[in-house]
Parts: sequence; C-alpha cells; structure tokens
Amino acid sequence: MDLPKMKKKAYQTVIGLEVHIQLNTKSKIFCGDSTFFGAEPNTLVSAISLAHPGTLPKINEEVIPKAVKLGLALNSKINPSSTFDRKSYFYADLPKGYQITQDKNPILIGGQLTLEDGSQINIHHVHLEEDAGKSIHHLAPHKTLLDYNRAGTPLLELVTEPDFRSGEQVEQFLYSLRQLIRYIDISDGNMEQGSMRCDVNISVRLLGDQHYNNRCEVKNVNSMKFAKQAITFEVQRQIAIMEAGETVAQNTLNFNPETGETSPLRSKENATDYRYFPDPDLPPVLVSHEFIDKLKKEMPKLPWVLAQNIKEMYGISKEDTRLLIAEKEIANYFLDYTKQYPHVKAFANLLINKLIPFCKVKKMPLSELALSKANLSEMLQMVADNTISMSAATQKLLPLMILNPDTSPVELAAKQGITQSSNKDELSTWIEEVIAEYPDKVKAYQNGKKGLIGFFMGEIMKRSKGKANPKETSALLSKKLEP
Amino acid sequence: MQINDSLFSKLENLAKLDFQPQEREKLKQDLENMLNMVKQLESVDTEGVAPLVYINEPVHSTRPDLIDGQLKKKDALSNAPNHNDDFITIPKVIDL
Repeated sequence: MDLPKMKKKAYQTVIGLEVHIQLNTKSKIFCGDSTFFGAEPNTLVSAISLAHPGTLPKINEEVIPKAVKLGLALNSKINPSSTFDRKSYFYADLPKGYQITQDKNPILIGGQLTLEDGSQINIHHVHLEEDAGKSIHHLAPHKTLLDYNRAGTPLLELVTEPDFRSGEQVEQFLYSLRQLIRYIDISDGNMEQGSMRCDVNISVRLLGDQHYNNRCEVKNVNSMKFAKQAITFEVQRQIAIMEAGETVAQNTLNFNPETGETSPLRSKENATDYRYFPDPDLPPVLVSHEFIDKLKKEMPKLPWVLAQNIKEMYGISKEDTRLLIAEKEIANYFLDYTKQYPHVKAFANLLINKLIPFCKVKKMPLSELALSKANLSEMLQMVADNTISMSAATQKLLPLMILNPDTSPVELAAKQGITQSSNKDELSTWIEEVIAEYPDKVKAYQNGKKGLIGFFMGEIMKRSKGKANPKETSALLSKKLEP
Repeated sequence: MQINDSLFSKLENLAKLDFQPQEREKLKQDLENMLNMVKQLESVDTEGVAPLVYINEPVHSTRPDLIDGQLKKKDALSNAPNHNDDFITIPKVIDL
C-alpha cells in the first residue's frame, strides 16, 4: 500500500481497547473442566462445556473475588448484583449457539488506570464471560477443526473509553494492566498463550474535532509490540483514505504479525445480531459489602504504590524503580532486603545489573539463588568500607559466594586475596614501577596529554591484580606525575 | 404482526436454517400465531412490575473451584457427526 509521505492536515488518533483476561482458576467458569493450557485437544471437556441438552451451568466461586480484586485496583464501582446474559452467536467454537456473558449488568462499572506518562485511561466497564473454543483453519485443506479445551475458561473483558491517543499509550496500558493482574494474582497475563488478548478500536479525526469518525476493530493482537504495529499501520491507512477525500468504512480487521499490516476479516458468518437476553439458568452474582471489605484487607500493595514508596524512601531513579517492580517476585525480594539490611541503593544496583540477569540466564527464580541476603549485605558493607572494590565484589567475590553459600564473604575475600589495598606504601610501589617503565608517556602527560591518566591506572591495576583502591591510587598517581 | 418474506429470510439466516417454499408458508403462519399469543400477553397491565427473569429467589449459588466431570476424548467426540482422532471437524468457515 502506498502511504502519503506528507500529511496535509493535522490528525488525532482515537483508540479504545477491549482486553480479555483469562482468570487463573483451576476449573472453568461454569463447570469442572480443567483450564490447563497446552493439553491434548478435546480432553478438557464435559457435558456442560460441550452443551449437551439438559446440563446446567453453575458459577465457579473463585472467579468472583478475582473480579472484585480487579475492581478494587482500578477503583471501579463493584456491582452488588450482576447478571448473566446469552449472546446469540452461531459459530462453531461456541457449542451452545450462544456465549454466556454479562451485557446489561456487568460486575464492574467505571474505573481508571493511570499511565506512566500521567494520562488517565477511563474504564467503561469490566464483565465476566466464558471463553470460546478454538477453531483451527490451517491444518486441513477443506475443514475447520474444533478444539473445545478453551471453551468455558473464565474471562474478564475490560472495555476502556476511547481515551488513548497513541500506540505508545496503548503499550503502556497493556504493560501496566498485565503487571497489575499478576500482582493481584488473578491471571498469568501471558499474551503469547492468549491469557491476555486485546482487540483495538482505532479511528482518526481532524485535530480539534469533537465527534468520532468510523472506527475499525483490529483483532488477533497478541503482544504489546503487535498492538503498537497494528495501530501505526492502521492510522496511516485511515489518514491516507481521509487525505483522498474518502470515508473510512467501519470494519473488523485482522492483524498479520508477519507483515505488520491489517486486512479485512472475511468470515462467512457475518450476522452480528446478538439478540442478548437474560440467562435464566444462572442466578445473579451477589457481592456484599462484607465480602468487599474482606478482600480489601487481602489486597497486596499495587505496583504504582510500590514505585512511589521506593522512589521516595531510597532515592532510586524512576528507571531503576521500574525494573525493581517489573515483577512481583523481584519486588518482594527487594523489599525483603530493605526490611533488614542497609546499603539499599547499592543492593538495588546489584539486583538489577547482576542478580536478575544471572537468574534469567540460568532460568531460575530469584528465590532459588544460593545467596543469602545477609551475605549480600556483608559484601556491600565491605564495598562501603573500601575493603573491596565494587568490580572485584561483583566479578570475583560474587561467584565465590554462590559456590560457597555457607562461608562469610569477608573470609572468602581474604582467602582469595581480593581485598582492596589502600596501603600508601603498596600503592606507591605500583605507581613508581609504572612511571619508571613508561618515561615517554610520563613526558607526554606532563606536556598536556591528560587523557593518559587512564592508561597509567590500567597498568597499575594490572600490576596490583585489581587490588589497588582506585580512588586512593588516582589521587596518589596525579601527585606523582606532576613535573 | 405480519411475518413478511424479508423478515423470514433474516430469521432463517440468524438461525442458520434453510427452508423450502412450502415449509416457509407453514412456518410463517406458526410464527404469526406465536406473536399473536405474545400480543395477547402484552395486553396485561404490568405497570410498576419488575421483569421476572429468575423463577427462584436470588440465591448466591456457586460451586468450588475443583476439577470434576471431564469426559474422555473418545466419548466427547463420539456424539459429533464428523470428527477425526483429535478434533470435531466441520466445513471450513473462514476464507484465509
């Protein structure tokens, strides 16, 4: 597609999201089939999920607190009595011929999520529903294959207001939402496995316009990167249509991750008359004040509250704080340390630059790291006392500590001779040796090539096997190099 | 209410059914009878009466989150008109 190189007018992008969140319950929303991901096809099914006549759905008690927790986190109004409706949708991945969802009376109404850039995204509502099965179109030439393992998996569908103005904001929102649902433990938020999926509604209007133009809904967006790509493509496509003086047709589009392009979703089933009506098989979901109060007390600290606390209490940068709270496990590990030990800022650096990457490579959780926080604190104390340099601590001492978890770091450092020297006589000897070896460079330095100081430091470090205290050495060296 | 051909075709499409001309006439009559019966019900004064959705009093009826009642794959597939060893199969429903 040819896209215009120059836009004639100023446009504004308007985006709203529908995010489907699979809840991490053991069994499905209305029956006892397992929700396990990746099982053999059609093994996690029952008479209820296959819609055999005469079967009766009954709601899984675990989905209610999970929905309420999301409501508390997003500051939504929690509906004391929400109800289920049937959404008539004759499609093979829904064996009943309808999907049980909440149309008129959803469990959560309103709410907000604030993005990193400070803008607030308003939530229209969040409702409970059942996931559909999977239709597989590419495995057989003339057939669609049906796997009902996913049919009936509990979903929360979150619908935002059209408050997004860029793909970056959508990416930030999805990041924060995924982090949140993991913190409050209602979903694993795994987009690759479809535990969190997103439909993106995009329209473009002239900057300053108040009305919304026709929107296009992009389906099949299963990563944050794809969401951004789909938006970038779609915005350009719609602007091109408007620049040509035409109107964008309201459409459902498919996103192709390989080309980064959207294309109209052509389905033979195009009836969109859902004919919602109340499901008489399911009584209303009742949520009492007492129940909400009980859950309020169980709520963990939310990521944005933690971020604020960490920044304020320890003076850690915004970027580092973001890394520390990225995952609940890391945040807890960090917070456990801060409760008992000093040198928090140095510990944060160590965690970000050494411990997290190490665990990532080894594919193990931080909790399995054979490094006690007491030993790490002792190591950081040695660095603070100048007994050992930070680089020797992380490059030499840390690996030894992992191999000898029961020996104290002080003992290990002494044994390996990696304790730093600030002994003036010892430092002077190394400095003088180097000065004697490179008289030309000394002259050059004295004639103004001050950058050579790095060269001398390097030579001294080699001679001292890294033991020379860099600060002391540098001060002493500068003095000795003076003519 | 008159069930005309275009309304009948719409319903046919929504229900994914296909009728012969002689069946259509009979069904149109049936549908009209049903609507007339509903019309009779509509004549009852329901001013101030909340719609009745649930026959029972609203009770908080839930089940514990336990895995229970799963069918064996062979049994699950046996009721479908067409299937292979793993999947229920239907005519292709999407143009790729």
